[in-house]
Amino acid sequence: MKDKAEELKQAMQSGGAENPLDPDDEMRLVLDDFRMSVHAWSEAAYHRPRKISAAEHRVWRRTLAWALGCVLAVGVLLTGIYPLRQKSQPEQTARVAVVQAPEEVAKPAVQTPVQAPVQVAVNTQEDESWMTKVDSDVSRQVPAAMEPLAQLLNENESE
Amino acid sequence: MKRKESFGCVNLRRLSASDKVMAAVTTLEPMITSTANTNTAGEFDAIAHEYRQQLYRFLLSSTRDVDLAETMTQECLLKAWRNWSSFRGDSSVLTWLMRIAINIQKDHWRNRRLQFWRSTQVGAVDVDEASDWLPGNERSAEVRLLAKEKVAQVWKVVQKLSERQRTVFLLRIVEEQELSEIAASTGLSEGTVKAHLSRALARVRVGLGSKG
Repeated sequence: MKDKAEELKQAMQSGGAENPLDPDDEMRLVLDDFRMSVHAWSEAAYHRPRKISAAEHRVWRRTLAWALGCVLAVGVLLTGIYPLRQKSQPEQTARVAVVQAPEEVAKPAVQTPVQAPVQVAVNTQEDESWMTKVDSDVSRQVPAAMEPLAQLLNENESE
Repeated sequence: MKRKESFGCVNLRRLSASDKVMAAVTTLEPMITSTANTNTAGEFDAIAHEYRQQLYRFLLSSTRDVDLAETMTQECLLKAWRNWSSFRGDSSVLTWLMRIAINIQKDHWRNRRLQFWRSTQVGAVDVDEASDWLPGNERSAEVRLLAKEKVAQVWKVVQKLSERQRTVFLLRIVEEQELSEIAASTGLSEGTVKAHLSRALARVRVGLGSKG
């Protein structure tokens, strides 16, 4: 920063000593050409014909931009709502189940109780073993004349 | 009332070509009807006529952007019109208008610098294209080509100059203003203007020498 200030100071001093507006002939010619080219360019640009049809394009563009914007907004909303709905569906089902549960508890007083499958299986097994025992007990009570045959049957079973 | 109408009419006639300019005129129109007295409007109309092209030229050479220069010129005249009542005549009208133009240009570059995602010179014309505008058909094709190359070199150097150096250089070389006028327009001292000008000329000299 200091160097820059010193440089500027030196330039100011040198500018004061020699005329900075006195470039050599060759440079003066170039600068004249530069000035003339800027003037010519400016003149041409200043008087150039201009189009006014830009407004129509702007209306079209604006309409298109609005339409795209709306589509995008709807898309974003739907994308946001869909997962929420998906998420809330099981919750709703659970809520319905909770509401229906007391009604179902009240019903068994009238209807036959619904047994759990495990309980049913256990009961069936008990029944079967009990029936087998009964069968064997009944089968043992045979008439005396049949006793040898019954023994043979028992032996066969044990084998 | 007659003068007011002529002011609006002149502006519409001159500016109706561009929609930007039209927008500025429509902004200007109600202001005229509400506030301006006829004398002021007439005076300003004459001034706008006289200096508009010069302002445009300076802004065009500074920005190398045809549309931007036009918008800035219009903005400059609008600001000048708004502050016309406060112009005391301490400096010449051109100096005052140039000062407004320089400030508008500064604001523009400052805003552009803040908008870092944009390119700094969106609509600026290429240096070679800017140097195409070289009158003097009496010269031979070879001489013209050489002159065009030199002008392109000057443009290249000018675009690399600092903002102040460029402003001082363009006001001196293109607008052919006196140092005192440049000092008044830029708000710098005459010594500082000389310093900036000499440094700008030195850089142009180096630029021309390196390719010449």
